[in-house]
Amino acid sequence: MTAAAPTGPGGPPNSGGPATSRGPTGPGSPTSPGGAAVSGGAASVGGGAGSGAATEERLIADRALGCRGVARLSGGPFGTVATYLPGERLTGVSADERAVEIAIVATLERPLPQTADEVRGAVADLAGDRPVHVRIDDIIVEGS
Amino acid sequence: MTMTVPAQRRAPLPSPERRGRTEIADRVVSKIACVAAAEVPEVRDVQPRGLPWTPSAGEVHGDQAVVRLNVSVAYPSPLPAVAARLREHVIRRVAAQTGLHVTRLDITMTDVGGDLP
Repeated sequence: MTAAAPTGPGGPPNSGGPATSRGPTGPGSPTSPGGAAVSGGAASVGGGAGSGAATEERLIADRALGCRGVARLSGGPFGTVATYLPGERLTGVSADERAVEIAIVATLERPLPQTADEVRGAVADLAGDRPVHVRIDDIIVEGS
Repeated sequence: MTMTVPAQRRAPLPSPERRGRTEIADRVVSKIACVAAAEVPEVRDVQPRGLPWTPSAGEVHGDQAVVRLNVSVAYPSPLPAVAARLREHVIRRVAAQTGLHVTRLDITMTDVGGDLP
């Protein structure tokens, strides 16, 4: 396990700088202050370090959306798979120190277990040792 | 006779792709089963037949699934043969797409009519 970049929790706020060092194809880099650069390995979620965790969940969401066979993220049963971020709600990803949960709406272009495995592989370095539970909440059927 | 074997290593962590569960929602199985049933030529129409409070044709329990379908079949067609083909096709499709094993598939033929394709 590589040590993450030593960004102490509660670093100097508004230290500027984009939070994502290698932004995936997501829509714009998140503008959370105190950017915690998530390097490979589990980002240690310090006490009250909201921005670090938020960045991590957003990265997980972007990576999952980039996988083949994933149409969009979903809220899961009763909308339980979600993360509350400052000023918004990120549906489809919830992560704590024990496990990462991702809920997706898939397409039928290939078998669903393969899609789930690819999602797991895509977020493996962010999840570290934690298990990644993928829930296929719905599918999109062509011609309906 | 006893044999001594060297101490066994503990099982390694599974590869990242395998670490964690894959859950499949009931409605996913329901949709796949309905699409698969409609692919059988003699089937005119498919409705999921769930319990009154959940109109979904599928129920997932672990790696097994129960599916219930109402189908309407073209007339005249050999119903037992159509049912057998339907059963085989739906079970194969659900297994291929979701990896779930259909342990029970209830087919109710609710209507005949329409022309043979």
